[in-house]
Amino acid sequence: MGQDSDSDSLRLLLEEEMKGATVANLRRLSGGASKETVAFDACQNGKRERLILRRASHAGSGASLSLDEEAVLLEALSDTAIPVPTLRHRLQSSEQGSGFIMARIEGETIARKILRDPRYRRARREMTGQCAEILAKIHQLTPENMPPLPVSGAREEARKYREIHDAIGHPRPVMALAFRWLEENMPEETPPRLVHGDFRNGNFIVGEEGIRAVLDWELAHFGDPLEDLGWLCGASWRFGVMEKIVGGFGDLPSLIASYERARGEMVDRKRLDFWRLLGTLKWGVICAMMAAFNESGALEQAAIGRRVSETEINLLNLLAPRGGGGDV
Amino acid sequence: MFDPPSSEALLRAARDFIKEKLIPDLKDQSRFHALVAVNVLEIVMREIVSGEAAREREKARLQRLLGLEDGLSLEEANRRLCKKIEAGEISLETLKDHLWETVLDKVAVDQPRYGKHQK
Repeated sequence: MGQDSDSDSLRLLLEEEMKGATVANLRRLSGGASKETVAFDACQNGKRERLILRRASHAGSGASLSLDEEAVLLEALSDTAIPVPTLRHRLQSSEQGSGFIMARIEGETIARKILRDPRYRRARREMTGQCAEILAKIHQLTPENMPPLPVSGAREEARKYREIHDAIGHPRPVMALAFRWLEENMPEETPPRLVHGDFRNGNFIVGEEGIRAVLDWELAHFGDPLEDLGWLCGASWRFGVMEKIVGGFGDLPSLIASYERARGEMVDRKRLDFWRLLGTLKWGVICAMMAAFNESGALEQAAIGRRVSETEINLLNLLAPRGGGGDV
Repeated sequence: MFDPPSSEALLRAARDFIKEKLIPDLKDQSRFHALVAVNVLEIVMREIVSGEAAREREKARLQRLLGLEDGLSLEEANRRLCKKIEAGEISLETLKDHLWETVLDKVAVDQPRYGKHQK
């Protein structure tokens, strides 16, 4: 870690939270001004636990769940067969920000490595089927048996991103075309099911045998299950392996077949097309938003504004494919 | 009026400095951010070289599609195009080539490797 004093105060905080434990091997895995992820070991009664701290200096942005809400969801999911890290502790001291501690599951999360390293060759073969099975389990869950979460179906999701796009105010003809297509192809609302909201390579912990856990539930809500399938097929989540539509590791017919088998019902292809387009558009709007509302002038947020053109190519591949038949 | 080096050459010198002198000694987050900085400088370098011609091509295509009056900015022209698209007043067949050419020109500056997948 960069600053030792920073690291010391974090260690003290963790020892205070985890009464009687000695904390060692602190490593900051990622972190910005508002949210951080730290790996550490806690030793107690001669036993060593490998753990992860997730901490935010302030509450969620409104669009996403707070870490407290995410912790409640993780706890509820630990009673299901969905692979998630076990919640170990919720931070008590509120002046340190909100957050929680969960079990650390060994494995790789960097999408590019998972897609290229020979070590994950077998994992890449398994992941399409595993995604389908995990999603089918997530999508069985209804508001009645889960903690309260926002409800947002097709119309509401489209409206939300349209509103952000309008607030940015920059004219983007490809996006105008995409929003019009969504209006014309708006599906009927479905009974609300649990939706992960960011189910893609990069949010999986992967071992040689495949997916060990699904992370980052902060965009979870109740809505249309096909939202998760559409998002998983987004071209930006293929990390350069463009010919494999599903996350850079799988093909769409296999994903659909495995999902239908696991859920015991057919996938409505037109509805899936709607969610593929909305997912692709949504990532473009998010990139544009990060750059447009970058008050501190942060470098990474500024740079991501120039990834909108990538998402416009992805949208055109869906809406107006050229030559080779497009992105299907 | 500005003397050499050109703005592109100045950016290139800054880019090379970060890439060759700084990055080898950096780790983790700082290394990542320095790589992002290099990427940003390269976007601007490409835009200096090919941006003006791309803007002219976009404007000429918009002129053919919409029949614009003189002095209209590119942003205003695109705003008009968006209104027509939203109102359903222009067919996808009419638009398709313009949208593709515009986006490919943009990606050639923003992320040339991404564009190469598409052609």
